[in-house]
Amino acid sequence: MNKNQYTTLLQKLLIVGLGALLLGALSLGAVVAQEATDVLVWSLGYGGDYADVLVERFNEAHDDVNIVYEDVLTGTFTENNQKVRIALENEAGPDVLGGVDVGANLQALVSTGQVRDLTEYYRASGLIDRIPPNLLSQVTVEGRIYAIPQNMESVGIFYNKDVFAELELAVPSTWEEYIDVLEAVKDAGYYGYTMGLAGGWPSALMASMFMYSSAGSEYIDVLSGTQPWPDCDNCLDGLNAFYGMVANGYANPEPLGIDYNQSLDLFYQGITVMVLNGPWFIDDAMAAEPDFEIGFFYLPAVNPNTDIKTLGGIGGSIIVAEYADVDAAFKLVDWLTTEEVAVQALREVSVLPAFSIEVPDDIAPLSYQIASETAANVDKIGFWPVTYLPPKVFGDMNQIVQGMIGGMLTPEELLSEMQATHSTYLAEN
Amino acid sequence: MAHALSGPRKRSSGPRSKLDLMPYLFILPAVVIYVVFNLGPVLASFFLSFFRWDLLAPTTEFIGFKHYDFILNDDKFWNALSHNFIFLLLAVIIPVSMGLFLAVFIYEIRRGRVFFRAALFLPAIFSGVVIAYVWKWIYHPFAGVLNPTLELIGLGAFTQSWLGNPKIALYSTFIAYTWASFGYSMVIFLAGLQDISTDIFDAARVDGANFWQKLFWITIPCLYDVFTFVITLRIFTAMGVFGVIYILTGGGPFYSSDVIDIYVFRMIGNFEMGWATAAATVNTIVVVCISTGFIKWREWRSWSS
Amino acid sequence: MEFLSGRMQRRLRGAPFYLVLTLATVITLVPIIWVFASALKSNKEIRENALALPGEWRFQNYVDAWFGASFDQYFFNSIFITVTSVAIVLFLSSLAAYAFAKMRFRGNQMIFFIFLIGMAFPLSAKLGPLLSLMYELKLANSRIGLILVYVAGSLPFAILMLRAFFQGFPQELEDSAALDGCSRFQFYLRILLPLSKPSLMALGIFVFMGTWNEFFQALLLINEDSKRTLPLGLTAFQDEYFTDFALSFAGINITAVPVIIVYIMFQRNLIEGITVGSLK
Repeated sequence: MNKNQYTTLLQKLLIVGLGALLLGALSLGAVVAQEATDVLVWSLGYGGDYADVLVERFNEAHDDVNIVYEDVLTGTFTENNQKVRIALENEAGPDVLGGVDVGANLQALVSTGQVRDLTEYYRASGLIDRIPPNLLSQVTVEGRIYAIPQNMESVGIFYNKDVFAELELAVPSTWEEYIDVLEAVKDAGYYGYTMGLAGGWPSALMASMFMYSSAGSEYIDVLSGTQPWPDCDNCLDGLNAFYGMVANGYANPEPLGIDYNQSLDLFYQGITVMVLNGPWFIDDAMAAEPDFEIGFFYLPAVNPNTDIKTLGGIGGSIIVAEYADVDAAFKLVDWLTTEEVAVQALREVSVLPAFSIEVPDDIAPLSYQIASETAANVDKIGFWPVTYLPPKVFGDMNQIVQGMIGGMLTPEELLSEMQATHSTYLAEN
Repeated sequence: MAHALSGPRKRSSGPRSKLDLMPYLFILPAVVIYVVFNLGPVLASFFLSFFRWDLLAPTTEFIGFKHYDFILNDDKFWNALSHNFIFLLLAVIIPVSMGLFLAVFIYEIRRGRVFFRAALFLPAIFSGVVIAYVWKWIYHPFAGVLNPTLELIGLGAFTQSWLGNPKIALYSTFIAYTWASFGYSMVIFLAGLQDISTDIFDAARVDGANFWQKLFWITIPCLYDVFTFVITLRIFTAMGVFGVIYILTGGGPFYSSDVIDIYVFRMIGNFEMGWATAAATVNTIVVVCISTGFIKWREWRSWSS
Repeated sequence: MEFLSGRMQRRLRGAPFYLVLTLATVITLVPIIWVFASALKSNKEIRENALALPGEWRFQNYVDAWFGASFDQYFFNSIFITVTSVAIVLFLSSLAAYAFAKMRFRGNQMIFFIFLIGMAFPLSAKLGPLLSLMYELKLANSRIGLILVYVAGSLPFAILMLRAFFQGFPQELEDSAALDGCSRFQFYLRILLPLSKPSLMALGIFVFMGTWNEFFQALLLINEDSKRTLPLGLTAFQDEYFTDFALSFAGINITAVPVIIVYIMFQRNLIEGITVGSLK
């Protein structure tokens, strides 16, 4: 290659480089430059392909507003919450965000003024009469409403109907009956409880489910820091129940060696017979095409005197960024909260809206069962307990629960370890 | 490395009035980008570690060593740092010696040098993410390949919960790290070997030196500077290991594979920027001290001998 | 052993080396081969026998993986970010390395040392302020921003390597060019760069690999799916499809194949890039 050829090559390279830069800048600018009002949405609370379907439907029905949808979810939900908060604060985030965690997360967003006060919108649109008060209270911060609950999720046990039939088991309604079922399943050579805690994140959530089921609102006090962890005897009962899944051999082996998704696969394969999960699981399970039928029952309360009825809570909420074009954003919210769209979502991806609808009876039986039972219990629906824990403490809790499952901590030690972590955090902030 | 650190042959001199701007123009673009996007944030991290600051609130308040006080009293921090040190110790021993031996073997053979070098280096080209997912599958307790293989070759007693057992999770991630890094040491050693004059080896052969004698009396002393470089590189990567552990274990179970970068990342994810910057600063100081200390020691040893 | 010819002796002497090397190669390559083989199996086959070879080769898994996630978009992003970064790094580092190697100016050694020290910082040392800075400059969640961060990260090594290489150039070359009325920039563009083509190539491949594979900073700085690079896209993909074993393997392969191709094409340049920088 002589010098001239070389310089030409260099020039070409430079041109290509500059062209690529320009292209990048243009594609960046394209988002801003379109005619119809663009509303940037980062999540609609509906996962995967269904969000794309919804966006397409909305954009077809509207000329004046154009939804630009971006999937941002990856990693743990604390990481995602963090990304959203920084982006909103710097006005580099979405106009509308669905699937938002309420609790501590919403309070944090409100405290830094990143989300729009929706109280007026609630009144003007009549939405205020359609959302049950116990859900409304979860999106209210100091008397003002900041988010719109999208869906209700009740968590319970999905079970392998074929194995239940084979062993002639009835659906349990008390904790004692549930333990009997687990024993019977174990004797037949199956595992009754599906557990995959590698990577951390499901650990705190799963342990919390049992503590919440046993201690009820007392557990919320513990999470909020008003009651010390070791003083909550009901929490200890719940924790012992959770630990019993492993200690008594009900859970699959290697709960710390496989992650949550990998553990679900054990259920699809028929190795484990029951899995604690939420309604989003219905779709995943259908996609996995197991060769057995799946049933559902609520996890019986560890402590029958607890003051909560169902595990679970608001699945996700919509917020509108402070800097968003309000009219355009509200058009999207109006549309998402119409009964037509909501029923369609229930029919298509088994998502039960947070406002009252008539549950159609021509949907898949399992969806129908969960949706109608949840809808009937809407006034008793609780919280996602972990959303009340500061993210830092939640992150530590994941590891600490792993320590208990791995046999390095007893349930009592877990509670004092949590107390130490939690109080250090509260003292520093 | 030593050579690279020595500057131009002549020191700058000449009248100050005739300042030559040209060299500054040449380095300016690189300096600007480097300072703004690399050095600046590191320095800012150092300064901000003395302030209350959470990425969101614009206000910052000077609080002195309060963050350091917390970090240095946090068991989790020392736990993570000790894992970095374990990683460092193992990384200096295992991938480096594997690289050395394989390089010597490749050097000794006549045919297939290029093939073996290329094949053994292959894992080193992958992203940490790819490496981690490959090993996540290898270690999978029910669908993985490691446990069945062990059973197949009669080592069934060694089957393990590779990532779930807190006692060995860190070492399991280290195996993935080694798989991806010994090739790196190997090619550098090999290049170093090829720089050694063949006369020395020929003379040794005439004298009847065996393989081990050649290794200890010729190869290793001749590769002195290469060793310094290879080990320095291991110091950087072992103290900054992130992707492989982040995906394989997330630092668990029960912090058993936690390392500093995971610890810091978790802090950032939780908006504990003060603690994150303090921990990162301590880590930076440790890394700089270890690496420069090591390089200085090697230079001192090579002068004194 | 008198009766053996010298050639024969040498062969026998080499045998243990070949044995060890072959064993090492097998152990090294088996995981890769296994991942590629598994991507062609059905989920059922993977579950029932993890070690077996695929019964029938299901290339459909790749098609499903490709369309199941936005791999085409991740691919474009990775190419765009990597190629642009490499071009900028080569240009800026060769300019600076030329000055450091061949020009006399106050602060030469000092500034060079400041660049060098950048190689010692662990990544976590800059993350917090970097995140804040990128948002301030409106460069967060953007490909351009990521390019700038990658360029800044690659510069220290690139300058170290090219400076060592340029120092080897005879001074007479520059002197005679100066006599011909060639300015220093012209000398750099017309003479120095063409003569350093092998080094630039080696460095370019090395930076390419590092940038293509980077994950930590992309994870922190990129939010939106349409801007994700391949390693980042792979994590999102794995989160979504982990229960679909075959698809998950195919996703890993889609991310790995481009680097393997580049590696096979430029293997010598890459290894030269690594070794030149370390030995000079």
